[in-house]
Amino acid sequence: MNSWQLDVQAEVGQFKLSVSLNCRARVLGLFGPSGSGKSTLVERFASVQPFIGDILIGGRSVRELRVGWVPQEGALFPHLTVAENVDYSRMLGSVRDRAVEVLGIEGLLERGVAGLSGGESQRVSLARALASEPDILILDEPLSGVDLPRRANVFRFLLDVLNEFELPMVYVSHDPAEMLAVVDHVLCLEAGRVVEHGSPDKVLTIPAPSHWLSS
Amino acid sequence: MFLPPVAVGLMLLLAMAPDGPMGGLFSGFLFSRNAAIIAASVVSFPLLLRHVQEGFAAVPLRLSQVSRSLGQSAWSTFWRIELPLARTGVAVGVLLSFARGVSEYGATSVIAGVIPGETETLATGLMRRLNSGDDSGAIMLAVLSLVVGFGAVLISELAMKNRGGRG
Repeated sequence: MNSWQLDVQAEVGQFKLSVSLNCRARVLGLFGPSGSGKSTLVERFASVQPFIGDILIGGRSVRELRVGWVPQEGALFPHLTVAENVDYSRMLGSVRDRAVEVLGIEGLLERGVAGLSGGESQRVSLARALASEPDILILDEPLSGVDLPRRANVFRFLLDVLNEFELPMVYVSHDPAEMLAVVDHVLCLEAGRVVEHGSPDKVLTIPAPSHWLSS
Repeated sequence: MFLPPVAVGLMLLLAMAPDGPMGGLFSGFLFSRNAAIIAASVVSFPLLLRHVQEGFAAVPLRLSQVSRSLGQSAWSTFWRIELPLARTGVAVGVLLSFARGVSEYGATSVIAGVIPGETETLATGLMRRLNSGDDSGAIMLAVLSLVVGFGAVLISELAMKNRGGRG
């Protein structure tokens, strides 16, 4: 369990994100409908967009941490092979081979990324993030680009990663079932603000507003 | 951006003249091969800029962000991700601006003149041959100009169609 201290203020066009939270968790879930600010907050976790305030994980600012970020749809570099993607990080560490093994992508390494399925792309993206020996792992809707029949398979790999790598993680989803299976503490966002947070079995069993579930 | 080439040539001539604002650096270049290169570069630059801009604009911001999150510097991200993915746009810009440059007439004739074997472009060479009664030479250069122009456009169109996700 890690302590999480979030004090984030950001504006993207007309959208305002304002999040303040203290909690303890290993896997922090960000839950909410499309447009609630999940991805906006994730970009601040990944320190790729400016914001006012700070995010402290275990007392350390994310601005000083190595972040392993798995964006939606994987965001693989299309002109590189799978191996070149996995080995892209400047901080490539010894964990690389273990990540490749746990995620079962040994057979994909020499391939280009163009022919990968959604699930394979996500596994490669996850291996790339893990290979950088991150201090924190961010999974932004990791199953969103995966065909429905293959989701269970990819989810199994996610659970393997969760068990194998003792990392604090941010897990983003709008699927309550994923949240209940993965996260310790869930933060519910709506219109850029925290509307609820707590353990997922308490927060997510309260009937969510119907528009959340349809988005 | 549309710039009348003769007007550009006149502006360059005034700027590069011995008493012009860039005369100290460039007055020695007037009516030389360097002047022809400068004229062709200036006139074709907007074409190059437009295609290079389009090439870089097509690179998803997310890929650059992921590269930075993996510890790469902005410079490394440019060389390893952005430039390779924008390469089709850059190549098309270079090709089309080259084709535009070798066919340049207005600005080139103003600051470089028409010196055979020295400052001639396809267009100024064609005009010189036409004026001197060398019809067959003029026709040959006209055909060559058309081949260069159509070839550049055809290759560019094919490259843009085939680039897909690879820039």
